[in-house]
Amino acid sequence: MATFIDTYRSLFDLICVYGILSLAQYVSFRGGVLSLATPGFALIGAYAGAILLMKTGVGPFVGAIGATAAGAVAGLILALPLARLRGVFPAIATIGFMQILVSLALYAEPITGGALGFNGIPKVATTPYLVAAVALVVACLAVVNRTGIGRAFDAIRQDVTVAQALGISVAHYSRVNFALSGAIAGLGGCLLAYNTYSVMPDEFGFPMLVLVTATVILGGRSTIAGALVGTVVLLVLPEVARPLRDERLLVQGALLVLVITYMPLGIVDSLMERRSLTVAARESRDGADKASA
Amino acid sequence: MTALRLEHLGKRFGGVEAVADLCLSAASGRITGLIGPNGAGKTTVVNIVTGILAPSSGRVLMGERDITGLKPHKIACAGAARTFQNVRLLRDATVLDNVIVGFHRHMETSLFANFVGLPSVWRERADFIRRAHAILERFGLSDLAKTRAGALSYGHQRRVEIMRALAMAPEFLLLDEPVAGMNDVEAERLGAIVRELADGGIGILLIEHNMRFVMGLCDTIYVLDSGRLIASGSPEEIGSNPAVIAAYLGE
Repeated sequence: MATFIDTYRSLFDLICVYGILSLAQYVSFRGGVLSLATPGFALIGAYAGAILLMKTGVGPFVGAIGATAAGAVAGLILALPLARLRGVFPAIATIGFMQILVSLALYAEPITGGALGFNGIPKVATTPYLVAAVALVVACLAVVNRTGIGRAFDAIRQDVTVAQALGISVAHYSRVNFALSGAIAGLGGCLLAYNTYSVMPDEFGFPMLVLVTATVILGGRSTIAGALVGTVVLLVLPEVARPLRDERLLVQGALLVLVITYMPLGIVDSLMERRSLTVAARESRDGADKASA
Repeated sequence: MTALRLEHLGKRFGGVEAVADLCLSAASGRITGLIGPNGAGKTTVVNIVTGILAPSSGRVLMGERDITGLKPHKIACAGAARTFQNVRLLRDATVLDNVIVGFHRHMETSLFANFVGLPSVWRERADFIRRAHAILERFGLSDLAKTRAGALSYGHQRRVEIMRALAMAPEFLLLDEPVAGMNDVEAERLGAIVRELADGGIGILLIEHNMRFVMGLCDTIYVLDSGRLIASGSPEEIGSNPAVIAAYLGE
């Protein structure tokens, strides 16, 4: 058992970190914002966390809080020009944002260490801390989803015109959405830095973007569990499919196509939909029985 | 008291005058109808009143407040509720949640409280749920509380939309062709609901095509043709007005 845990601990750690990053992406989708800025926010969080820990001598807790705040502030600033955009335009703009940050990290060598980034970051984010961080983010999102913010997000996602007619300020909640998504991604990026000993600009480009969006689409867009299930599936898959290592991307792509075709809402959402349909069918049958009795 | 007043409202799209010099007032507790043939400018009026379009001239007043050119959500927060010509519900949400989202303008808890889930937020939530159930009960839809709104029949969806508007506790309600696609029985039932809302003190502006429905329900009717007001008055006056008959049936 001990060896089993040791073997898979790094995988488990990675699932926790990417779970948080996927939740940041999930927040965007949930609020009806087609933002793809998660890797950009994660980069800001990772560098902020690394700099705070290594250059200023504050502890890892302060570092993580600082990284989260940096992500939130970046989200707020990015929301200023983007809160008015609808449809695919925020997607394009946020991809640009991500690319700019990656370039900045590469060229601002005195601050960021350039292409080599930061190395030798102490591994302060050990498994228990990562689990605690995931739990914290999930708890926060569970609260947000059940209160007024979640209701506003849902309304905006499903119909912007209706949301406005109900008195919901779309611009305001888009800012809230960007800040929340930025904060979570900032924390995720920081934990990645604190867990893997290093930060490099390359980590935060398209591969991360594809992974965090794929996890949400695969797992389900409307539930917290969806993003987490998607992360587990996409990160465990390469391990299970070791013999197919060379065809890893092929397997991943095929899986996405299959899920989108047969479970268009994602794994968790589709299962929940099926369950609610059976419950509804049973209730209407019971109702019919009662009516005929 | 007037719930809504339009003063010399005008809207131009390039050279086209969609609405010209329209004056209209809708009293609280009354049902005011706005009718007219296709292309008369009814939808433009709706869009101006709800803030989707800004008027080229004139003013929109709600009570004593000038709401001309305000953003749609500000107008909604000021107390104007609306329904849509083609029912627009949050299709993936339950009937109950569709009603609860209507309470948004009555939310008093702060953003921070909502983030961390302070007790006040849960109290407010429980209160909204209780009030939403009360509205469902009033409309006889309690059994459908947990049903997905998109799965409802058309008539039921209409009713949910009105319940959502009612949750806003508006001073003024704009109904945009509420009986489109309904049969006479359904329309009559909806008419009774609308009358009940007006009796409760809400000012109602009814935009409609269905003449029989409008004639039977409205206290005052305004008739629009090619963007201009051609008649206004009680249903009897409108029914016998030659200009109205000409506009609807041709000369």
